[in-house]
Amino acid sequence: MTLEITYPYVGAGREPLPMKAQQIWAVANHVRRQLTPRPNVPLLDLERLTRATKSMRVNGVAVSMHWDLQRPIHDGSGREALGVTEADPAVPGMVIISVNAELIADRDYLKRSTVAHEFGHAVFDGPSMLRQAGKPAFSMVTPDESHFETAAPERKGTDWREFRANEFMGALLVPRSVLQRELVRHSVASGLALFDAGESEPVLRRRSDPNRIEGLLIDLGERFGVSATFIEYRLHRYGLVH
Amino acid sequence: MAFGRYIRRVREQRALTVTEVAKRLDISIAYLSRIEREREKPPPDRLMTALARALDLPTDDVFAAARRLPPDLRARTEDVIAVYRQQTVGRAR
Repeated sequence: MTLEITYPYVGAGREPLPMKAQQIWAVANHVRRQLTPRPNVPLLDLERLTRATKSMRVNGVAVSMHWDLQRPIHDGSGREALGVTEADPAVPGMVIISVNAELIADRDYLKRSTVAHEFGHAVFDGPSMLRQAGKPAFSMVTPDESHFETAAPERKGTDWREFRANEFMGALLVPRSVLQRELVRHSVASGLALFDAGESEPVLRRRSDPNRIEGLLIDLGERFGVSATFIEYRLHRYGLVH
Repeated sequence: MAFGRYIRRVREQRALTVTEVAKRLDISIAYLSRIEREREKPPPDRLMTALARALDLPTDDVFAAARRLPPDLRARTEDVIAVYRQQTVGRAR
């Protein structure tokens, strides 16, 4: 199986053109539909993800992917890092992703976020990485969890590569439509009243009982295999909070 | 020469790919690539020995490139230093 992925890019260097968050979410949703026969089931199977992403065609460029989820890894200065996405001129055509098994330990939510974030780098930065063949190997390092929240693009100093990887990670693991469906399911089951934003847009009331909101975040986090903070951030990014 | 660059140079001289050597060592392509690019430290003794075998190198050369005594000499570090000192004194004369 070869994943087919397209997005706007510029020239032979294959650098992605600036994209709005909604465009990145659309790419992630397209990938999710190729990864799983049941894209509306909240929990994405990580095994399936790493297995199915070994071969991709991104904007017409063949990218083979190699995953290593077994070892500790370090950045260029010897510090432990959560994940790294690299291209090595000695291995042409391959994007190499390493995820730090030791640092992640048994935290499945962290493994899931790191895998999806690094996958985002491979999707958006992989083709240009491979174009740099002959130059020193290129790498994107994810030092820690705080790296998963990048400032919105309108803010000065946005790191576009990290912004793309983070929005891709968010939409791949927790797509907007699936999150909204789960939000409604939880509210019906728990009696949590939602706000009707019109046009079939039920959203969470910011001023609901904090304990109920916390219960919602924990429940949805478990269903998607991510942290409660991750869900809270996605609800805000998707405009699902009134 | 740094260990990783030494290994990469020898591997390329032997016309072996990263994938082939990683397979012989039963390690990931990522790990070997990162060792060769100096992103990771030289590997544990067992892999150093396997690396020497895979690249058809004397085991001592591989350990020397990693600035590490081979395991059989490590218990005799004092003797190794004494012999080295004797030789360097001899050379100085």
